[in-house]
Amino acid sequence: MKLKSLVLAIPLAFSSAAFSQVVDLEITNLTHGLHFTPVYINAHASGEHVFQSGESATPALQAMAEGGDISLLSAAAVNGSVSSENPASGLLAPSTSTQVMNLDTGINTHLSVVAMILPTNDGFVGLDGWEIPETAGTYTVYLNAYDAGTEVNDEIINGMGAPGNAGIPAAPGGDGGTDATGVTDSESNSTVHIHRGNVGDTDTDAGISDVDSRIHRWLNPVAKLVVTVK
Amino acid sequence: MKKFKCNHVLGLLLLAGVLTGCGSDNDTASNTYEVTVSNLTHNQPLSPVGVLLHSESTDLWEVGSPASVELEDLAEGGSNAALLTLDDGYKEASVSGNGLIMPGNNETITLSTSDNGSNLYLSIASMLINTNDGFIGVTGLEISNLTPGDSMNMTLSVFDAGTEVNSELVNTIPGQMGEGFNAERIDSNLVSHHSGVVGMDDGHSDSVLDSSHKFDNPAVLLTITRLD
Repeated sequence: MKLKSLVLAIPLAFSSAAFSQVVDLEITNLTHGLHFTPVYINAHASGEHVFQSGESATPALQAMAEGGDISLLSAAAVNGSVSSENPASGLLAPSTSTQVMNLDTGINTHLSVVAMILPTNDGFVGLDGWEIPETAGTYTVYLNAYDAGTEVNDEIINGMGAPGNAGIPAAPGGDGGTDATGVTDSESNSTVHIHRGNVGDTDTDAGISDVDSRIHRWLNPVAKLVVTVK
Repeated sequence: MKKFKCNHVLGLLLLAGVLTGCGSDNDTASNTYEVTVSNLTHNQPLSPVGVLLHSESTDLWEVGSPASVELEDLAEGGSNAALLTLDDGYKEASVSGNGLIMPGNNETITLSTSDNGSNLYLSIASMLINTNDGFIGVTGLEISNLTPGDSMNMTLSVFDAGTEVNSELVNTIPGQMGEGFNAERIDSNLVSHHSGVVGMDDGHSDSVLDSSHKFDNPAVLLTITRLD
């Protein structure tokens, strides 16, 4: 090996680990009628995941996706990862944004973001392990809606959000229905997958769904993430 | 703070007898762009496209903010006239498309600006006429880095102007002979992405729309080419 290239390689090899990235984040709920529950953001190493398409949801992800509870995700965070929890201090309403300023990601190179979508049974907006650019600048990423695969999408709003309990916790916009009979009683894909969307109906006190088809459907993408690398 | 306009600097330098460049884009007397809008939907004709060039980054709308009346006019009724007359002092050009762009079709719109400054931003907008207030577009898109012969492509999602509730009822959809612009705001009053149409075939029995009017993202392919 040539000595010169070895000398050059050493500072390069250390540079990515030695200079931690500080980022600003802005997350926008792009939907017209859906709320996000508290957002969980985790900067972690390559190969770590908060969720993975095609894999079973962890109990912590399930609790987030079915009930909006991010405390288990927080407790399950990998040592050395850096989290930002609930930047919106509660629900992120349709068409609104929330910011995280000066998040020091330390040695972590990848970013994941999750939040439950209401009203859904176990739908969540997700970003899985996006590599944080090393070059300073502003980067825009669009996020899709996922289904945790842990709960039947019956679309019955009954206040139930704890893992294992069927039903939707709430329609925070006050625009949900009651007394639906249920859209389905089976969930054939039990892994995390792209959500097929709400069905809904237009009947607020009967019908198959407590979700309003005119308000609570969506098309991907459902969120915009703007990352400013400093 | 207002950015320094490059062409003014160039003018002064020429008067002083100094010939110099001012960035790579400023060696021609004008910039001409072709904007091609291709309708990717099944049965959502696009209203005549409005295309604008600005010398400063100008957002004609923003998710989370109320739509301007001019945008509401386009999104509810398909008219681009008001939007094209909007001038914040940085408008360089504004051009309307010739007419409806039918599904599967496209239209190429050419526009020029004599301002050969280094900053140029493109905005386009068009209504999906079989919606209450759905529109496609992009605004404040920087195209300054295109050199003659360069092209860029992007696909566009559908926005909801937030100015008219998505009732899909008869008499509310311009493409179904219904009402266009109405200044009354009976929705969130915030621009968002569109949630799609439901239609009579998908459980909304009062809807004047049917399954043919459904769409998904993206709805449009946009190609921008700099000619000179």
